Parts: sequence; C-alpha cells; structure tokens
Amino acid sequence: MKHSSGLKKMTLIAWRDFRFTALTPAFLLGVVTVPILGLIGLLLYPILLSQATSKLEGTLLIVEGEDSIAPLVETILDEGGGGRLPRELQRALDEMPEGMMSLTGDGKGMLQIPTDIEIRTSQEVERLETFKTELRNGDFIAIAVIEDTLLQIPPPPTDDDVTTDREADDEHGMVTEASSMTLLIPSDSLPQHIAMLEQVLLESIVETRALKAGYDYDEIRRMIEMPPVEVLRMTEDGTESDRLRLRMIVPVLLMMLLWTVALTSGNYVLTTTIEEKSNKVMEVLLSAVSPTQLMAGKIFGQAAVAALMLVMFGGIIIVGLIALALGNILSVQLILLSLAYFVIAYFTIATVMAAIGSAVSELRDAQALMTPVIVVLMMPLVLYIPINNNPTSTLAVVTSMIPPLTPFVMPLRLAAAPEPLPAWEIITSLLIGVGSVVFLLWITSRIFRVGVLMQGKPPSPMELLRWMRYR
Amino acid sequence: MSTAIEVRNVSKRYGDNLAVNDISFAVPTGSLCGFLGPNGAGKSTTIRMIMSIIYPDSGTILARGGSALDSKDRIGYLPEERGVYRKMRVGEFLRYISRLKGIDARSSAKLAEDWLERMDLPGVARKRCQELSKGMQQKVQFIATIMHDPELIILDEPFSGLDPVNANLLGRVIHELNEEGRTIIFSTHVLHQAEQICDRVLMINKGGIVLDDTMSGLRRTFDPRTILLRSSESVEGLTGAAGSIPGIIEIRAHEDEHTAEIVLEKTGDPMNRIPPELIARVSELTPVTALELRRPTLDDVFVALVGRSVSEAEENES
Repeated sequence: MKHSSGLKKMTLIAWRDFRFTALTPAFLLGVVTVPILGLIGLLLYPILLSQATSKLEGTLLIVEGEDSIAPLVETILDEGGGGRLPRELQRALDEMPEGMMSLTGDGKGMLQIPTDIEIRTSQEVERLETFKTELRNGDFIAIAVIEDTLLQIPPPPTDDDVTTDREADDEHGMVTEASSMTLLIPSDSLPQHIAMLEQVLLESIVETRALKAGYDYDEIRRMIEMPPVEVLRMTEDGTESDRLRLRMIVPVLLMMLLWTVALTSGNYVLTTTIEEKSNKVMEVLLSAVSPTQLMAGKIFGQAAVAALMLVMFGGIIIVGLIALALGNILSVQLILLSLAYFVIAYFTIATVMAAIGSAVSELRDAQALMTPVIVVLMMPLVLYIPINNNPTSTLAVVTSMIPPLTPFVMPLRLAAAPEPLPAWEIITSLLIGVGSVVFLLWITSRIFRVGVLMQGKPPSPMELLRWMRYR
Repeated sequence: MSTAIEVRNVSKRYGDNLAVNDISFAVPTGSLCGFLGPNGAGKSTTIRMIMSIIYPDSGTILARGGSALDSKDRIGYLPEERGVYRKMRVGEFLRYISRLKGIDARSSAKLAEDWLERMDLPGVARKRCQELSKGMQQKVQFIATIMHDPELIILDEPFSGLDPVNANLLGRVIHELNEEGRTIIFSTHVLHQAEQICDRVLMINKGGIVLDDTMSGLRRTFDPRTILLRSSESVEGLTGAAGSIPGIIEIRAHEDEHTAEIVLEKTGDPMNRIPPELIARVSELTPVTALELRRPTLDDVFVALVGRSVSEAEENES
C-alpha cells in the first residue's frame, strides 16, 4: 500500500516534469522541426550542389615561351569546360546511393561552370607590368604565366632535397628543379572560377609535356584511370556490398545521437531541480513526498523526454539510412544493445545532474560543479576517431570498461566492429554500466536530500562528502 | 488527552550555531498552538525537524505518534520557504499538490474550486501563478497546505506578507479549521497575531523553550494587575498621591495626561476584582471616566520572561 502510493507520487512528479519540459510549444517545435529540417537538408543538398555556378566570361591571357599551351586550353574548355572531376569527388559520387544520384543529374553538374572565354597569348614577359594594369582595369579574367621549364618533364623526386646542379638535362628533356605556374587574378574573382582555371591550365601543361615527349596523352589518361572498386563483405548469410565510407559514419552518428540526447535530457534534470529550489517550491513538495521519491520522479520524467527525443531523432536517422539503402548496417541486435547502453548513459548523466542541481541555488553556481563532469563527458568525442578506426584495440576495450565512458564507447564499437564483439565484453560492460548507475543513484540520493534544502553559496566538494555522511 | 506532536530533548547544531538547544514540549490533539519567538530563535528549525525534513542531532520527535514521513498525507505543512511553479496555472498547481498528498484526480479539482472560493480567490484557477500578487500566492500556498483535509496542520509564519484584511481572513479560517477538530500549530514572530486566535502558546528564544502554557493559564500567571484609568481632567494629582493609597505599587501617567496605569499589589482574590475602597479613593483625586483591568499582551509576557521585547531580541540577533 505504502509502496504503491510512493510509486504513484513518483509517477505524478515524472508526469509533471515531462509535461512541462516536453509538452511545450518550444520543445515540440525543436524536436519536430530539427529532424524535419535535417531530412529536407539531406534531400536538398545534392540539388543545391548541382546548381551551376555563375558563368565565367572574358579574356584569359596566357604569357608563355616558345611552346604554347593555348590551343589545348581552348580544346579542354570547348569539351565542357569544368574539366574532369577531381578523383576524390568522383569516388564519393560513385558511392552515393542511386536515389541521391538521380537528384544531382549525372553528378558532374557539381563542378559544371558555364564559360565563354576568349584566349589571348603573349610571349612578351617583359610587358607583364602592363598586363597587370590591364588586369586591374578589368580587361582580363586572369593572366597565366607559363615558363618553358614548366612544360618539360619534372625530375624524379630524390632523397636529397638540396639540388646543386640547376642545369637542365637536355637529353632527356628534364629539368632539375620544378618551377611553378603563376596565375594572376582580379581581386573579385570567385574561388570556384579560379579552381576551374587552375584545373584547365594544369591539365594543358601536363598534356603538353606528354605530347612534347611523344606520348599519346589520351592513352596515358586511360592508363592511369583507376578502376572502381566493389567491396563485398562475405557474411555468414552470404554476400553483401559494403559502402565503406558511409559505413564509417554510422557508428559516429549513433554515438553522437546517444550522447546528445542523454546530455540534453540530463541537463533538464539539472535545470528543473534548480528551478524548484530557486522558486522555493521545493519544501512544499517535500511536505508531500520524500526527497528520494522526488529525485526518482524527476529522473524518470526526463527519461520520458529523452525517449521522445530518441524516437524522433533516431527514427529520422533510421528512415534516412533505409532511404539510402543502408538499412542493412543496422541490425536489431545493434539497436537493442544501443538502447540498453543509452539507458545507462542517460541514468549516469541524469543522476549526476540531479546531484548538482540539488546542491546549488542558481544555474550559474552549477557551472563550477559542471566543469569536471563536462570534461569527462567530452572524452568520448575525443576518443571516437581512434576507437572507430580500430574498435577492437586495447584503448577501445579499456575505455569501454570505464563507467562514464562505457555507454558511449560500446555502441560506437558495436557499430564499427566488422565482427561481432565477444559476448563477455558486452555482458561485462553492461554490468559495469548498471553497477555504476546504482552507485551514482545511491550517492545522489544522499546528496539530494540534504542539498535541496540548502540555500545560498554552492558547496565545496568536501561539503558534498560531508552531506553524504549525514544521517 | 492524546498528543499530536511530542518533542523530547531535541538539539540541532549548524556549525558553531546551536539552533535548537535541548527542547521538550507536547502539543495536545485538537489545540491551536502558537509557536512564538523572534526571528532566528529556532522556530523553523524545530518545525522542519517535526516534519522530518531535517533531523535532530539528538532527541526524539513524534508527529501523530510516529515519524512525519509515515503520515505526510495526514499532515498539512506550510513551509517558511514556500513558492509556486511560476508557469503553472493556479488550479493545476493545487490539483498537483493535492494529488501528491493522496487525493484522487476528480476530488482534487472540486476541492481546489471550493477552497479558492472560501479564500476569496474566485476566478483565479485559470491564471498562471506568476500573474498573482504575493498575497494571493500566499493564500494559494495556504490552500495547497490544507486542501487534502489533514488532521495536523503546521504553518510556518503563515501571516507574513499578508495585508491586514487577508491576515484576518486567514486567522478566521485557521480558527474554523481548529473548531472542526484539527490540531494546528503555527509559528510567528508577530505576537499579537497569535494572541487573537490561539489557545496555547509555546515561546522560544535562542534555541530554548521559555514558555509552554495555555492562554488562560498564561493570563493567570502573568497578571500584573494593572488598571487603566481615564479621566476628564489631568491625572497629575493622582500620580503624586500614589504612595498615600494602600494596595498600589505604582502609578504611571501616559503622555496624553488623561490616562494613567495603576499597578496594584496582589490581593489573593480569586475573582481578580478591583478593591472598592481603591475606586473610591481614586475618584476623589480625579474625575474618572473609565476604569478597566488591563490584560497582559504576549509581548508583555515575552518581556517578562526574556527581559526585552521581541523586536529588541531580533535587532540583537541581527
């Protein structure tokens, strides 16, 4: 009878906290609109990327020696201007799921810059100062200075950086030191225009070198073209394709989701506790419920808030992954275990926040006590790169057994590890997590019952220890 | 007579400050007890210990025969540090608190409505707490304290912050609740408020109980037998003749020169009558228009016990 009434009181407190945190216009707007905006952004981004940038028109002056690259520049510009896509970008595009690709056209639109460029050449390097003035006056869109040495085959890299012999080796058409191309541009040039010009000019230089040495450049290009790779992961059930890069994002996404939601909702425990202290409603509440019931009610109330956020944000991520045909990355086991770790993460943070909230009278006093907590909570964000790269390393195993880190590191490892983690690691980490939550709850309930009645100056760590010993 | 609250040899120390020093008292069931003393005397500390919100360093406390924790739903407690959820609506706040005290949802709505009416707060149920004046919030807090119909009501400074009209209203309701059979103990440092309604008085000063008595017992004990005399002429002649009238200790003239306080010797008369020969003698000296036996106020009692007034004690404390 007494227990059921205690439970009822706790539920009432939990419901009030949930209602006044989550069922408010501001919160609902945030929790509903953020994922929707995220989804819209995800869909719109490729479309935005595919929008052609502003047209580049005008005269390009190429100041060069006896060998001219101008005809090649003209040809490449005529072929479609923007040049070939940088290899990394091409790869990223290749890995994009079909659905997204269709939104971007053939994907090449991303770097397609419409051009209407007239090319002038000059061999009078001595007139460069005049040309510069003309550039400033807007007569040119750019001036490229191409020295003859640029068009010779550069020397092979040597171990010895210091080159003593500066003379060209005429026999092999090689120079001992590579020179650079100078590109002069007006002050208002757009970065993507410069990048495009660079690309076109460099390609022309390379092709000219090949022609001068008597090679078929088209053949060379085909020769060095790397074939696409299809990675097939051989699982027990059969074969599945593996989108490596996207796969690497998922564990981090998962950990960030758990981290953000646990921290946000844990923070609500802090602020609502401080609010009840500062508006002096605390003792009124304590005339009806015990401090432990109050603490538990508040923690469970915000747990419901956390669950709501998790469903909204996590749901969007799952829908997104399925839409991108990446649903197979998520297994039921991963989702269930992540939920278990999330419960541990939430209770770890929420109990600590309840202790801090009870101990201080104002939000700004909480900062001092929050600092060490935040430092510990930042650890997973620092450690995620090495752990994601090698989820079975000693670092990964050790950090997943240290209580405040366990619930963040374990989901990351579970999602990142190509092979399932050993069962003992999962069980041990869950036990450590639950054990630490029980311990923290005990400590917090000791601090909470004293702290909620204290007003004024925030306690020192020594005072907190003394509170725990009060009977 | 059963006791609602029993405090035995209780002490509480905060650092170097001995807030409550070995106090013992009992509040009988059904009484309306004033818990009086200057600010900082230890009233709130004692009340919080009775409520098991804080615990004594030594001694025992029984509320309704056990720990207050075991009968929170049967005790109504208005803390000194009281507040409301600013954003919550008044009706919602009252329903929430009463439901925490075990009232079911449907009854709590009806009770809130009835009590708001009774406390002269009609139509505020839909208002947010932050829209109310301080005095109105105070009345809402009082409703939250008693709406679950507790047997024992403990009020810490219930009158502070109330204007005289509302203080009267609150005093009346407290009195009615007591008449209906509830035990009530309330603290205040404004003694005349207690004088008007309580039937029992506990006085505390510097952490120790200095008085524990009923109001009638108190009047018997602290009867200085002072007569207040009003005259149509100056009372100067009267003050000069004080030594020549038998049975009079002292005569003090008030500043208005028409009023005098006559302090009588104890006569042992159980009826506390003014001796007729004294009335005759005084009438010869000045034309008397009024003569009354002056009752001791609680302030007088405090002065008699502690040697200074409540306000002096508070000044000294701060």
